[in-house]
Amino acid sequence: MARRKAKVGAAQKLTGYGILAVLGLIAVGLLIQQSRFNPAVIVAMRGPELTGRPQAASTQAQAATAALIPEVSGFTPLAPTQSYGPENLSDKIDGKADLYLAAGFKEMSCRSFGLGAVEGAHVEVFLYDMGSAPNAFAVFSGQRRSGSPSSSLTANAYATTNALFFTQGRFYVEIVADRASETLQKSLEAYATALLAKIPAEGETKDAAALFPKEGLVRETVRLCAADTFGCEGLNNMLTGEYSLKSGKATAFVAVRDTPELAQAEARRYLDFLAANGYRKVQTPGSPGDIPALVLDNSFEMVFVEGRTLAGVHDATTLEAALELAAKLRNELKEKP
Amino acid sequence: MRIVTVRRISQIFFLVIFLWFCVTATLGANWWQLRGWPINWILDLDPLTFLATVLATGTLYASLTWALVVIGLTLFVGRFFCGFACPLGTINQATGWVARRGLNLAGRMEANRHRRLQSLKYYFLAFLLALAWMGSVQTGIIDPLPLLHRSVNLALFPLADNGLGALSDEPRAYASAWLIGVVFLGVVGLNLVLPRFFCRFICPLGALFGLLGRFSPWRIGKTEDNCGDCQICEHYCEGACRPSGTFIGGECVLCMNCMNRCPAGRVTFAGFPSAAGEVGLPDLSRRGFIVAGAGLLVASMWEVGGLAGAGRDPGLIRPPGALDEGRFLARCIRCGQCMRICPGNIIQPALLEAGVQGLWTPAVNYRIGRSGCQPNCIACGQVCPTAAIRPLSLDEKQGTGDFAAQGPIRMGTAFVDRGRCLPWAMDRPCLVCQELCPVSPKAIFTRTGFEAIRDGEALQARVEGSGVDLEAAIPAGANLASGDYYLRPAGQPEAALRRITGVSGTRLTLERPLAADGLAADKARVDIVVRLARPFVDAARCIGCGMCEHECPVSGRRAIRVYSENESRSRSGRMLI
Amino acid sequence: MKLTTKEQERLQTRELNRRDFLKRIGYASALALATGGLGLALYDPKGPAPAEGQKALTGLGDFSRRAMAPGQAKMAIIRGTDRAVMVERGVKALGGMESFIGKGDRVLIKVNAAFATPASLGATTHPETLAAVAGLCFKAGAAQVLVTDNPINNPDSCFEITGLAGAARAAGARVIAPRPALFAPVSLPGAKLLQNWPVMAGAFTGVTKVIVVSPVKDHQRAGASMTLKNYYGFLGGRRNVFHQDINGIITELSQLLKPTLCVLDGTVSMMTNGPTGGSLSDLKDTGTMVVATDPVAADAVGVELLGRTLADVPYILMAEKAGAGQADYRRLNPVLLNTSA
Repeated sequence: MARRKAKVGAAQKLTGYGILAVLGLIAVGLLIQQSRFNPAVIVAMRGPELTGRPQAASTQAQAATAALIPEVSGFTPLAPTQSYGPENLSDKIDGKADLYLAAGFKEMSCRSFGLGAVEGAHVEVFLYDMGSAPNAFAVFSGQRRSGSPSSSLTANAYATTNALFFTQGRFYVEIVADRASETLQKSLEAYATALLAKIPAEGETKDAAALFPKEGLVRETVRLCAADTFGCEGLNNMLTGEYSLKSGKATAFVAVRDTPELAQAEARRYLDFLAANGYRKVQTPGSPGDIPALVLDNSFEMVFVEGRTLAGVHDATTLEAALELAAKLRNELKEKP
Repeated sequence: MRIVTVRRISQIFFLVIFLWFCVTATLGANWWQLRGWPINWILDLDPLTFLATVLATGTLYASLTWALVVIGLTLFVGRFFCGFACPLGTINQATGWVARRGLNLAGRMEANRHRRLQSLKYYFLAFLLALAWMGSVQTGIIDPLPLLHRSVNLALFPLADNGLGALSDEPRAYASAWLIGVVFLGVVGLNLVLPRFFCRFICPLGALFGLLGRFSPWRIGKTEDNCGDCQICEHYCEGACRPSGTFIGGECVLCMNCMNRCPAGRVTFAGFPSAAGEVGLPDLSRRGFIVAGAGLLVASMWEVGGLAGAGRDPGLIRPPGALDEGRFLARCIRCGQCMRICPGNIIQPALLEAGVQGLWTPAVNYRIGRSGCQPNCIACGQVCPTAAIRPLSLDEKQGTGDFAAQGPIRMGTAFVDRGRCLPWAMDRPCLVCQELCPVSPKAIFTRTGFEAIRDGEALQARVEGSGVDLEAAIPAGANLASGDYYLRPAGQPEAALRRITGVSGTRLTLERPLAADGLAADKARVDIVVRLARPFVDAARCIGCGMCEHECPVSGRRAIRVYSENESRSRSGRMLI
Repeated sequence: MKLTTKEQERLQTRELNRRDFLKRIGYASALALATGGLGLALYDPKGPAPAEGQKALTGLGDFSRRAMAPGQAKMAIIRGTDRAVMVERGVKALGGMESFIGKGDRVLIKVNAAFATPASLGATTHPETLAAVAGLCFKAGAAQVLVTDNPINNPDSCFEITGLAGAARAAGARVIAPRPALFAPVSLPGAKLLQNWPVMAGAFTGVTKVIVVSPVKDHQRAGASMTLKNYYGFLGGRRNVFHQDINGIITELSQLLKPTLCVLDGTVSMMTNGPTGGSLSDLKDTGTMVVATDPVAADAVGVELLGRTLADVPYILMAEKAGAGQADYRRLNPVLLNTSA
């Protein structure tokens, strides 16, 4: 290797130090700059639920359900609580939103948790404010998974292997885990209890099934149909319950209207609907109050009005079953004015 | 401290911050993510980008003002940027050094001899500036700073990160990354032929620096003409600028090796010419510049091709906020920053989609990547160094707040391909595009229709209330109990439909009994019909975000595709009034 | 003290170098200042605008005659078969061409040359009518008469095949065929559709009077194509997007310019299959020429020739509402003439 010049001149040294000083300044400048966030980062950090929806009114309301989702020991929050109103519910649950919107949905908050007790398990809690207890029951019953056992948490509650579903007052709650296990099921119940403690008590949740005669009723089939019951347009807010009787199977339905006239009008509408669909009257000597029954291909229907209550039997497999259930239902309704 | 040591520190410093900017070019607030890191700073320093965009647009985009600092310094001391700052220069110098370790002195001198072809880069520069003058900025193809950004962003980092997953949670995909990578390998590989091959022969930025430093008061020179002629100064000369003989100022990259090596200390960096004589620039021929001036003609012929206008490929979707095609090509330097930052990975380097003059410009491809253009993301415009993609605010992108009157930025319009769409062409229920449309109210809506399925017409059946026994086998290939299938009496298109709720064997269970006059219970004929919600696009609402196209289950050529019609950026693309 | 030659040389070189250095400092500083100044002059802190900022016109101008003598007729409806005679009598009834065109005027005649079909098919302005109007203009002292349209088919063949180019040549008028340089964007104040849209403004350079000469035709989309629909030919760009709102665009077009005079040629009208027609059976002798200062009134007459009512052609009432003219043409007290008698 060639020899180098031994001595470095003062000017060269000075220039060198000058350049290093400039590099230092650049480094400092960059470090200062990095703390002034790029607008894209600010936007990205804001998260989707707050963007582009300038309806200030709903943000306050969203906090209402968000505050009801408790933090329970053992449940580690994985993300902040998200809230949705009617305008953006579909962002979270997509096509299913229609079911809730049709039933008077107000707002929903949800949050996901990690569950320490079960390795790596995820739990997501959904709290829907449906505005009223019947609405909550409508969405609860409308999605009830058949064959899953009722739970004692509230009057309307059931559990599947990985989840709990219940209503309390005007709230409908889903607590869903990503796997099935017994320990997990207990944790979910513990969480549900903590949640129920925070939900404002609005008197007793009425047991929807109370209107129905107990005998023969398959309890978990009791549901509130918010709209277009049995396909009949305008037949709304109808409680239905399926019966298994000795004489056959049948469905009872009950709805309380504001005035007897309204109940009458709706009964006529339903009868017209049946007639339009090809149902024929059958003679029913000895039926209670001489209510006529209608039949189409071994499916029997009966409709009657008791005060403000519209009630009847739907899709009975035999005439006997229809008559039996109608009689029972009538007696039950008479006892509870 | 020796100036050469300082130079190496400076080179490493700039290479490190360059790489750091590439690392941090992902959307996020962590210290190793975008935050406020000025990831365009090195691109902003580029006088070639400055000059080309000024020529093409007649304006100086604010952040490019940094280039004035570099220009100013170059005017006084020459190509300091090449020797002290350019990250590609550093890579070239390092590769050249490694390739020539152990080479004897004669070999080194031969490698660093000045060659006439070093003038080529000045012609490249003239060609590129001629194109820019005509409104087509092509400098980024071989300008070292965009070239290196693009290569690292789109080829090297994705490759390195593939198994690592440190820079992104999913592997990044870039179309034609291979070509970008090959060009980069070529640039680096040429150092095996001659050291700093790219810098000496090709680099148009170096040529621009050479021209700018033509009158620099301070430069390399010898204090005495007859210095013993050891020519040690030539052994390590990075610029091949002939420091021992007639010094060529425009070729010197200020590596300072000559000054450092000269055993007698006769090489100086000072305010007087070399005692052995000097010239400002290498021999440049008029013929060369005439050939380079053909750039004017080439750009004009592109105009004739009309690719920016009516003949443009309707499949070319530019990122949101991109300028209309003519003005876009007057700014884009193909640095790949937008492609790197895009969280959806949908901004891709165009190969020929945008025409020859659009090579490696950003084009959106909804089939690659992980989603459509996310409604609440404005990253691409915010990192564009030249505002070829305008920096949008979220309000402007979404058409809210002050921008409510303009409406959202539209990248194009989705078109349903009825020949491929499941409900349109195959009688299969599918609603994916409608469900995923992020516009509110949705730009995709459906019209529901009922169609008898294949082999499902006028089937013999026995009807018992809600149960129907088919006499023939159930048509294969459809889950009749899925809730989308209905039964109706054959030949009565107006009859009420009954949803099929269960299937076992040839028995269908209906939600309610079939209602029809004159339907014989044991010799009925029924149609199985499917309910089809068929998608339509409301062009007045569609913003061309491509969520639908990305998610369409017809995975090859999608059954709903976004084309550039009605994109906000071009008036000629206007489709609706 | 005497210096050696060598020392002298060295001093000389040093002096030269000093001068060269100062010169270089000067150059570099000047260049730095120039670049800095250039940067400052071109500095753009905001970045580019969303759409190319072009100054848009607000219309093509008002060419209507300012001072009308009181009691002077604004409209003439002439029955007959000879187009030249009908035009001449009609213009005379309105005070003669001299009351519209002065010496040295540069007149732009807007014809309908939309299709490359012969005049006999009635899809375009009849060359005889054009010749009559152009001749009257020159007679009144016009310095130059220009004929223009932006046709649907190839412009050159349109003007040639329709006979309009020949008629113009014979009369001494010049045809202006559309080319890109003639178009400039227009943004009509308050308009919804005509925003930043290219119109043939270049044809109006130096023009002082505008006469619109149109045929009477059925129109599939618009109901009828007469004077106002003829304005469509001033539009450039992909104007067929406006077919989505044809009545809206014609109403806005009625605000684009106010012509000096309108000549509506209903000698033969296209009753069906408009605007292209194609068969002689689409045509009917309706034997009427309208000369009017009011395009809306002229079109209202045309509608009657087509055997329709104003309800069939909504844009006429819409244009009236927008202030383009009078749809109830009888209120203009039209001069009624009959040349066949």
